[in-house]
Amino acid sequence: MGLTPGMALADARARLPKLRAITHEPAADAAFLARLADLALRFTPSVALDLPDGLALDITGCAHLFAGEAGLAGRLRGALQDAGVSAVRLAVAPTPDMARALARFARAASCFVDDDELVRTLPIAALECGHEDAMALKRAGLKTIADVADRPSVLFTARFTSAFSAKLARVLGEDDGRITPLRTPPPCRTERRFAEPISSHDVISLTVSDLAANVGEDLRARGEGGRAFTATFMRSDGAIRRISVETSQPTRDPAVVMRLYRDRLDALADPLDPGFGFDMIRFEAVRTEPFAESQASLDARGENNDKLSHLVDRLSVMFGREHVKRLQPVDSHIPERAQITALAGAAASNQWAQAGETKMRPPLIFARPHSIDVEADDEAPLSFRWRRVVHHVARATGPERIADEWWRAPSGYGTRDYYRVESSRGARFWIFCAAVTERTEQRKWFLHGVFP
Amino acid sequence: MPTRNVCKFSADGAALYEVVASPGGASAAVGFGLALAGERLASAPDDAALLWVREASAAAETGDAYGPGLARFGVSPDCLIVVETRTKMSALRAALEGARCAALSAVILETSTAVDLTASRRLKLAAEKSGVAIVLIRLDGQTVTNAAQIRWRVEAAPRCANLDDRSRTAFRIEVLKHSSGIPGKTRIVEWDHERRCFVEAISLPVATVSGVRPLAA
Repeated sequence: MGLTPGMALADARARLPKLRAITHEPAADAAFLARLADLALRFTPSVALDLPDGLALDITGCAHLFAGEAGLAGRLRGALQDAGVSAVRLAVAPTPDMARALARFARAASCFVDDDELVRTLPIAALECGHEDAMALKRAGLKTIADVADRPSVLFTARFTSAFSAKLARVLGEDDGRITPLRTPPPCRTERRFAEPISSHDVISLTVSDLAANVGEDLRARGEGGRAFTATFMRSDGAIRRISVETSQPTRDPAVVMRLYRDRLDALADPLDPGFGFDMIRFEAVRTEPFAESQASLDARGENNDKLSHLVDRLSVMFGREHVKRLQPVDSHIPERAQITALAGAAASNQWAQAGETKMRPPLIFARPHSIDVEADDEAPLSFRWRRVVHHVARATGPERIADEWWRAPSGYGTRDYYRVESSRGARFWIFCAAVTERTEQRKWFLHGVFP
Repeated sequence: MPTRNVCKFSADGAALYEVVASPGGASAAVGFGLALAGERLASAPDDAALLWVREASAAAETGDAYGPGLARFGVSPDCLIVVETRTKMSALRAALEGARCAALSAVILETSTAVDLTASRRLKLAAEKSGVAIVLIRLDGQTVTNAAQIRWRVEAAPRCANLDDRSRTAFRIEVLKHSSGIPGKTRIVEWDHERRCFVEAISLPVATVSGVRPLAA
C-alpha cells in the first residue's frame, strides 16, 4: 500500500484515508518483544533482544532438532504468527550482525546465507550509520555495501570513525561478535514435550518430579548440587509460566526440590493455570555449586543442621527470602548500626558469642526512633508522652553518651544521651536526647527501644 | 541476698504455652515469651534453634528484634531465626512449619489477635509429635478458648533493685489456665539472664525496696 516507517501521518492518510492512528507505547512494545523472546526459547536456549524490534537467536547446534535451518525457521515463523506478528522477516547468517542487516534490509522475507554475497548487495542503510554519514556516502556515489567494501577501509576510517569500519566488518562477517543472551543457558536442564497437551495436576506434578530426578542424575555426574531450580511451563497457546525455588544448601535430591516446589505452588496467589494444557515442561538447575558428599555422623548434629536448612528453605519459599532473617553483629557503637539482618540461608555461626558481652541494650528496638515529648529537669527526664499515653518516670539511669562516628555518614541525631527509664507502672523504655544538629534546631527526645 | 526458689516453667512437658499481654504490657509479654523460650534453649543441645514468627502488625507495635539486646537478655541471636509475615494466616502457617521441625527448641508466635481453637490445636498436635515447645504471644489482651495448656497474663513489675546492668527483669504473672488447675494465682518472677532461669522475687512492697536502695545517679 506504499506505507513505510517514518512517513508523516498526513502523507499516509493521503494514500490510505481509512488509516487509524494509535499512540506509540514503548513499554507495551518492549513487553511484547520480551514475550516473543520467551517463545523463541523453545528453539534455542540462547536468545537475545535485537532492539528495537527484533530477536537474535544463536541456533548453533540446534537446527538438526528441527530438520535443518529451514525447518527451524518455518516452525519459528509459525510460532511468531500464532503469537500475533503479522510480518515476520527472518535471516539465518554466520554472524549476528549479518543476520540483522539481512532481516531488516533484504528483499526476501527469509534468507539463508553462508557467505557475504547477498549482504554485499544491500543498500548503505543496512550499515545503520547516522543520517549525515549516509548522506555523505550517497553523495560520493556509494550506494551498496559492496561499493564500500571494495574500497580500502582506511579511507572510511579516516572520513568517518573506526566504529564505521568495525560495523562494516561485522556486517560482512569478517568480524564475529556473539550475542549476549537474555538468560544464561543453565548448566543442567531437561525438558519433555508432549504429543497431547497435558492439564491434569497429577500428571504435571509427576512430570516435574521425573525431570527433577533427571536433573539430579546430571548433577551427580558433574559432582555438583543445585542451589536454584526453575520449572518452565509452556502452554499450548504460547503463554509461559516459570516457577523458581532456591535452596540454602546445594542439593540434588528430587524429593527436597519437589517439596519446595509444592510449597511454592501453594504460596502463589494465582495457581498454575494449564488452560488448554501444557505442551512442554522444562526443568533446569539455574545455579549450581560443588556438592560435598557427606557421611552420616554419629551424633545428631549434622542431621539437625539439615533439618534446619530445610525449614529455612520452606519458609523462604512460602514467604520470600527477605522475610526469613538471622541477625548478625556489626562492629559499631551506634545502636541501630550494631546489627544487620542477613538472609537466614546463610549458615549459622556463633558470631554473637564472639562479639562478647555488650552494654545494657533492649531486645526490641524501633528502626526509626519515635519522637516523644519529654519534661525533664537538668539531670533526668520526669515524664514523657509516647503513643498518646503519658508515662511518669519512676526511676531513670543514665545518661550513657553515644557520639556519632565521625568516620562515617552522620546518623542524623548527633551526640545522644541515652537513659533507661522505668515508668510508675513498671514499663521500661530506652530513650535518648539528641544533640542540636543541622537537622534539629533544639534538643529533641526520642524513644529508641523497649525493655521487657 | 537470700537464696531464691528457681521456678521452672517449661519443665512440665506442656507443648503449647500462651502469654497474654495486659493493657500496655506488650513488651513485657514479648519479653516473658522470649524468656520462656530461652529457658527451653538452656536445657537443649548446643545447636538447637529458635524460630520467632512475627505478624507484621505485632512487630510494628513492639519494635524489631535487636541482637545486642537479645544477647544481653540471655537469648542468643546466633540460634534465632526471625520470620515476619504480613497476615496472621501466614504467621500460623510459618509456626506450623516450625512446629514440625524437630531441630528447633521452641517456636515463638507473636500475633496481635487471638489464635482460635482449631489453629492452636493443630499447632499443639504438631508440637507434641516433634517435641518443640510453642509459645503464643498475644498482644491484644483478649482471652479466647483455645488449646493452650498453660496461659499467663503478663505485665511488667517494677524492678526491686535499681536499673543497673546486673538487675534482672521482673514480671508480674497471673495464671489464667493451668492443666493442674490452680488459676488466678498472681506472683512476681524475675528472669535471670545469666543462668537462663526464672527465680521467685522477694515479695516486698515496691516502695520499701526502693526506699532501701535509692536511685543510683
